[in-house]
Amino acid sequence: MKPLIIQATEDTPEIIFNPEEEIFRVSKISVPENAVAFYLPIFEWLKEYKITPNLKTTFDFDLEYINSASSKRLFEMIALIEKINENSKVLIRWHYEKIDEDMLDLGERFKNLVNIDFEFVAH
Amino acid sequence: MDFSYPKDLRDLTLYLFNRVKESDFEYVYRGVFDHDMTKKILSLADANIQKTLDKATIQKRIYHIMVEGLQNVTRHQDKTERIESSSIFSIQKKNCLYFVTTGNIIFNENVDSLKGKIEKINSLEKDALSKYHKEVLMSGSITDKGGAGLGLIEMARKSGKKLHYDFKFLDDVYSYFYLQTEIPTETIEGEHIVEWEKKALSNIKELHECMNENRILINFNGFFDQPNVLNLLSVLRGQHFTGMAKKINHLMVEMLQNISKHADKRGYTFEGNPGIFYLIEHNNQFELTAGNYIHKNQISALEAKLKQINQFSAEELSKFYDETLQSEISHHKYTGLGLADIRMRSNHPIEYFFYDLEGEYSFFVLQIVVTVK
Repeated sequence: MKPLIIQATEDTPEIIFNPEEEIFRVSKISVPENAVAFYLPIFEWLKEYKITPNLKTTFDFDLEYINSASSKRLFEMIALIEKINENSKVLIRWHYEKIDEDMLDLGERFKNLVNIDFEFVAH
Repeated sequence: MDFSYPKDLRDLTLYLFNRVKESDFEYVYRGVFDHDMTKKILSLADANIQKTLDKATIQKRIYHIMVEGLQNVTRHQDKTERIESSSIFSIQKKNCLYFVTTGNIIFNENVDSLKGKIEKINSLEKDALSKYHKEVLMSGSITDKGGAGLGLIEMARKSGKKLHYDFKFLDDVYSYFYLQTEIPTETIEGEHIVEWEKKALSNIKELHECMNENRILINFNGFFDQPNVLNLLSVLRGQHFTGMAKKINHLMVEMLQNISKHADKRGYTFEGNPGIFYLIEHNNQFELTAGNYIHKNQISALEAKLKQINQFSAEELSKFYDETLQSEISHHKYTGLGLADIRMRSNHPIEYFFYDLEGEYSFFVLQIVVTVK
């Protein structure tokens, strides 16, 4: 499957979804005004990946800043990832800065709302 | 001089907001200036000039004056431990006039030589100033701070107006030095222009005193859209908020986007919505305040949402947040997720109030407190 690569901008994250190299990474900043438009193609890609996923898929979420509009979309994304879990062994590695308890809280919140393995990585 | 700015925080917001009327904006940064901060301040100020001015040559001129002014501050601010050592930079637009103002602390012993330099520049007409500029350039005399008044000459030449300046005596050792450059974008004459020119500098001195007294670090009074929001965030990202930088940044995103998304334009045609944001640092506490217009028919729904979120226990708030995350209601609908997010992160109730204005609009103020652990 063709990888999905989106360069980071000042207010949207970098996305690297590359099944061949087993990299699934969302990083940097997500504070767009219109989060819906940005995340739509990502959702489409994930829906397609769900059909024939790798045996094992590890997602790295390594975000520095998130606005609440993005939290909502990230949850939508994680709900889609939960569906991939049916065909692939999924792990979400949630990265956060040690001083950023809010980011840890958000990760734990997501973890409690879905049935996926989470690993928390402090930097 | 005694200024009569309000001491009450609620009134303070309206006081600050009302300082700019009609199509004007005001952006003030108070704090320590270093190279990195200067760059960020510059890009925010520049973005707002571009938004409000379509003459490229004047845009450029203002940009250069801002660079000189900011460098003046970084180079010449005398280091002191005093709280008032916080320097100030401001850019204001009053109809067809832009004002760039800086204020910084200097040693009293430097007052006279500075005064002399400015008076000399102000005494020269255009051609004589240009000649003097060349002389100073050629003479190559450089003071220990790395300037020979060239910056001042440049500012005067670019603005085409006399430099406004003032000193405020602080104590036996220090004074504030205020420098203001006026850049007219059109040649309009009239009594109201003369009136503004006369008041422009004392106006900033008053604001500086108010910001010092209330420990306001940044005051942005203008039009909020995503580029401004990002610029403001980057200015704040450079600050050291004793381990609170991330939390404050997160809260700011929500508050600023609240204005850029939901505020009422009230008939303005600029990009972005009119509003105000300021940040106060107070001992072990930060206060973030945002204000914007709201149509009167929106108030009851917003107030109900705020009351609901404030009354939640921690558990209820968490449950509300989860439910909102999972709900599949329309993407653009106002869900309260942002407000719940703010309440959760700040760990304090959200302060708010609505000022009743004449006509269809009210002024909505949202205030958030963060306590340093």
